Amino acid sequence: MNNLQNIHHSMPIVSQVPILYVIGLVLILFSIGLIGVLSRRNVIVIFMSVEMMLNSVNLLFIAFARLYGDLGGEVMVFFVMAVAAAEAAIGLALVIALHRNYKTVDMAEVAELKQ
Amino acid sequence: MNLFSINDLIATAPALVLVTGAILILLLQIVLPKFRLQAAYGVAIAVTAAAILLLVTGIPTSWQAAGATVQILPPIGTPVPLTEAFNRHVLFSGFVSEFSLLILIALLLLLLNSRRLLAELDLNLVEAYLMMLFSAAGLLYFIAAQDLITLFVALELSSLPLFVLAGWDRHSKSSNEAGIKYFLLSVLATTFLLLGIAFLYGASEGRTNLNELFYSLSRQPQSVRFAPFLFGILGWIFIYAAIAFKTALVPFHGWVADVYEGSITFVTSFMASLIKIAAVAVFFKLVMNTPENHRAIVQPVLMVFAVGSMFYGNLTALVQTNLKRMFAFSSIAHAGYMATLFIFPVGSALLAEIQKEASAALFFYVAGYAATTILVFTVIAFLETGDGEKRRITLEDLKGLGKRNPLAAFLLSLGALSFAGIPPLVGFFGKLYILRVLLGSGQYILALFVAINSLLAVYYYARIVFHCYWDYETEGEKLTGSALRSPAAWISGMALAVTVIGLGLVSSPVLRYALDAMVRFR
Repeated sequence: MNNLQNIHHSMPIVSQVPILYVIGLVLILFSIGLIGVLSRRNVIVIFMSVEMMLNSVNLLFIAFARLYGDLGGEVMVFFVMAVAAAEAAIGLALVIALHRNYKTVDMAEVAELKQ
Repeated sequence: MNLFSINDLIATAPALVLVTGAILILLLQIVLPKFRLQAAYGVAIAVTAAAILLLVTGIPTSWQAAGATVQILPPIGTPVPLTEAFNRHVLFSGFVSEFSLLILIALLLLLLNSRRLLAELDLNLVEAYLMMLFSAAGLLYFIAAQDLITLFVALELSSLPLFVLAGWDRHSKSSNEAGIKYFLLSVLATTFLLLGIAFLYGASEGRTNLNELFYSLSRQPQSVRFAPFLFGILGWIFIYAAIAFKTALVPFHGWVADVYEGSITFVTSFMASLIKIAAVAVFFKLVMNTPENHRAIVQPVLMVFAVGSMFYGNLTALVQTNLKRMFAFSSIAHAGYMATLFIFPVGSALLAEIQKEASAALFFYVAGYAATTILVFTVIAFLETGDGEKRRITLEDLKGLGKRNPLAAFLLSLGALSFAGIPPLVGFFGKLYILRVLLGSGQYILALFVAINSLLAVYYYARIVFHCYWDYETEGEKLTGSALRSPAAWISGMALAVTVIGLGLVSSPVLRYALDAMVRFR
């Protein structure tokens, strides 16, 4: 155990970015994604924006995991990636069903239910 | 850190039984291709009943691995020691098992109707039962989750099948729209949940367990200048927002009307009952686990959710003519009533007592709400499918229904009157207990808002009853709807009607029973 710690300490620290910078970057990426979701009309582009938001959260998990030297955050990232893949499979299936009936993936034209 | 043992599986047995049933349905498709629909229906009902039985009776101690602490499933109705499983990722308390029971019973009642309703629309596919079982299993884990990682995965397990169910009628444009809208907004809510979890993880120096989180965060100085405290506040707000989306509370209600109307009515009743039960229970649990110093700042957000939902839901429902849309908005209003119980006075000495009372009142309200919702949407579903094709039901269509289809008119009126809070029915007692908790903890303004909204709501619920029985003037084709012809659907309909009438009459023993069971839940 001691040896392991010594090895770890003797390794050069390549870069130490302050956590607040990372949080700033995460919030910027998250906001760009959110604006994309709210302003775009193409379903595929909206979905891409959501993926971007998910990945910005992953970045935050990794940053905190490194700050506290805790593996939990990195484990969480794997869960997020796996779930995002499952979501993408179902979402794209829904988009295909939508396109069969509407012949478009533009959310502005998908408005059967407006009164 | 102990290793995985058989006790973990025993503790989560009801959810595992549901998952096993779902996998069995998949296998039976290959083994019995001719009878696969009947087999799927039978298996789904059997495993749900088995899960209820397991939850009510508990599991014999002799099944447990040696050398374990108390790992038995908490039997319903008794103050129980907490049962932990999977390294404290899952925790069973009286609160959790009560709400799990509610979910399973609601699932059983829905499944009894399912075959007939899906067959009427020519949508009776094996996968529907599969999706419902997976989703319900996810909800059981969602309620029991004590770790934010498990909470997230369980939420996704319950949501992913639901995206498919929302778009189940794949040849119908409105169902497509409902599916895609529910999917996109749900995924957006998931990102909020994750951002919240990430901030709490950062605020507490790398903790995700709710209990550890509570003790770590409650030691922080209450100052926004202290960065981890700020992260904590942000974390709670984002998590609340995500769960408020699932509960359909006001700033996150945009999807409700479209998705409830667009999905086939059977799926709507699944969303309005099961998902709401679970989301409300988890929301309450999260509020319980928010330490006092954070709650002092986050509380106004909850206030906005509760008051906004009540007023928006009721005022919008007043002007609706489409029956499904009206009940969608009324479900927002009911979520608002429930959310008033998430608000406790800050710094009260009697906090533990108030929280206990609030949890019991919440349980009672949610039970009554779920029974009434399933009743109302089941009747709507049967009315829609009667003429061979699906149609939208408006208030106009109800005129004179009392003569043409007395049973449907009676059940629909019963549901509407219970929602409105007419005395002998369950809805009245639910509101009464909410008001009692609010007045008991000194939140008079909130109680006033609940009272005003109950009065507002009477108008549009009474309109339904009026159209059914007193207003026969109608032009155009007359709606009759099918009677509840299949025996299973009849049983389910009657069980719901009896619940709506009877639960109100036995309300005080039920409430005491719930109070006893919910002694500890943190």
